Amino acid sequence: MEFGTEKIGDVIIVTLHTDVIDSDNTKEFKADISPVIGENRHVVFDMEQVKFVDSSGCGAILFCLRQLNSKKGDLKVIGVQKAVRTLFELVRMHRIIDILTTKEEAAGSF
Amino acid sequence: MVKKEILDISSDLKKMGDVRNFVRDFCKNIADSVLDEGRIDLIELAVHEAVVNIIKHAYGEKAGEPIQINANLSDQKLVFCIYDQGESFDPEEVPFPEFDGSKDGGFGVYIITQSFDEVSYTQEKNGENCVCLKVNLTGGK
Repeated sequence: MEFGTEKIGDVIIVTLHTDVIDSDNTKEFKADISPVIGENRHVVFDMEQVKFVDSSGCGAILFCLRQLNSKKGDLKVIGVQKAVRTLFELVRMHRIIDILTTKEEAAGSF
Repeated sequence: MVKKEILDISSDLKKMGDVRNFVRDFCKNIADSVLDEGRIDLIELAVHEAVVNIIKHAYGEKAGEPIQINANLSDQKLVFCIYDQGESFDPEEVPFPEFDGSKDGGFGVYIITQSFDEVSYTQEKNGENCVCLKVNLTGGK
């Protein structure tokens, strides 16, 4: 899965270049994102391009959160589309992952 | 307003885009006052989850097995019945999900239950499994 990265201080912004995170590509997502999670503690996923996430996609994002939390890091998300936000609220992910608006806001929130 | 459509696919996670497009196209002429966009997003997601469950659990991710989605719309109800010929599924065996981020999975059945007014899992006389998902259009969730 393709993504772009940008550093703001010690925060890495990961722009996800995919319109879907679902059961078909979560293994690929986790494998490709693991080096970024491994090398950083403060991570922001920019999900502007992601139009659909399913329960497996939620699981993959929670996997990243747990990896970061285990080394006292954290994960935030920005650019969350309406349908994706509805899912996050349904499975209460919005209570454990901050959903923010801009890169700057997210970078300043750690 | 009566409409019926059928989608036949084979068990392949790469076909899930076809499933989502089928659901969205089927719902697109329903008035926003009856089903708003947010509810249609949830219906699309929940049908997707039901089909993924069939591919993963009924067919054990074996490719090429048949899945049929029957969509029916009347003034009273929107119904998606999904048929497969794999292992039967007992939703009672699925534990309630953890919402604390401690587990990667377990949300699928919960999403389905929360998105529809009625959900039933049955086995047909010919041995096929059927999951039937209904939305009440005259006053449901």
